[in-house]
Amino acid sequence: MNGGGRFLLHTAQIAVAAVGIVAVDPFLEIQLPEAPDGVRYALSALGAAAVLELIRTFIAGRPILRFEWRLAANPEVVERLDLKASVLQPDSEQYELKLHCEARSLAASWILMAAARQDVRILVTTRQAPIIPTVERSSFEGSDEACSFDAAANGVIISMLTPPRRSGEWHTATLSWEVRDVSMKSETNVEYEIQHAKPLMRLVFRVLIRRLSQVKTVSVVRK
Amino acid sequence: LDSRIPRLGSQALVRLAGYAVNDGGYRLTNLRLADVHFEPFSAEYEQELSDELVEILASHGDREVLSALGDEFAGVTVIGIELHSNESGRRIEIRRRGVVDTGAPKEAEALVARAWAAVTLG
Repeated sequence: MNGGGRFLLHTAQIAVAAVGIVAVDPFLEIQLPEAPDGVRYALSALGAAAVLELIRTFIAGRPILRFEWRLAANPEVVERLDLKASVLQPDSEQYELKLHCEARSLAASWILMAAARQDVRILVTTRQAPIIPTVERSSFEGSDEACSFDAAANGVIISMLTPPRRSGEWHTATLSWEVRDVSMKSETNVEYEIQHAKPLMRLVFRVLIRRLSQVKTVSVVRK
Repeated sequence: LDSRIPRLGSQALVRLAGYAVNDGGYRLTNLRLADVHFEPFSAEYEQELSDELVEILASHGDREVLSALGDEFAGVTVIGIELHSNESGRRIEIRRRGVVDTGAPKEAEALVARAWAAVTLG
């Protein structure tokens, strides 16, 4: 969500809390006739904030997709992808991508189910950078792999398949990159996009599903 | 970027081998293997691993090989497959990025085209 969206959301939350305080006050006045106005307002504000937080967390919270990267066979999560390659050995070492799903609210679960039904996919791409990913391995369901190469986008597509019933690890994929230009000096952004054939659906699910990753860039290191 | 060259990473090569064995009329005789840095194993160790994985594919299918590569064979990367045609006996070796080594290029091309249509080779 951008700054404007966050501002609107916070404004709406404060407005709802203010309405809640005003609505609860007559009830508290009957229950606690001796309490000073300040105490009553404080109790109303706390109650309204707690209810709002419960609604936000358990009913209206958005799903979060968290992308975690590790060097293959290494348990430590990395914050950047450094692809070591040379002209003679253009294939980088392998990185494992774990896709975690956080769906703690009813709305989040529904959004993920709807996304899966609508065949929403997730694209991880480095766009025009002279590095091309190769899928070495990925999780699968039946005869469907979760992850496959997308030539048009120079990235990998992750199919949602069946969304998990609770928060946790969802899909894994092991990737390497063929480095076409080992002298590539600048860092390139790694983008995590929601894909759908229809632009409106794409926009809706991009707004509804948060994507988080510590890895935002990739760079090439000459071996 | 000419990214339309088939990538044929481990996953796709194993799927291709599975297709060739089950539907293509081929025997899988060897897998070319490397570690996660694409460094070669010793010839004996590679042969030993290859024999085990070929056996898993023959008895349990390509899915089981992919599971094994993420589990007891973690750290092993498939960089090529060697097939023999049941009919002609000809050998076809297919490696990463669609490199083919064979005396029967048309046969290899036809196999890859059929597999491409039948299974995900991305």
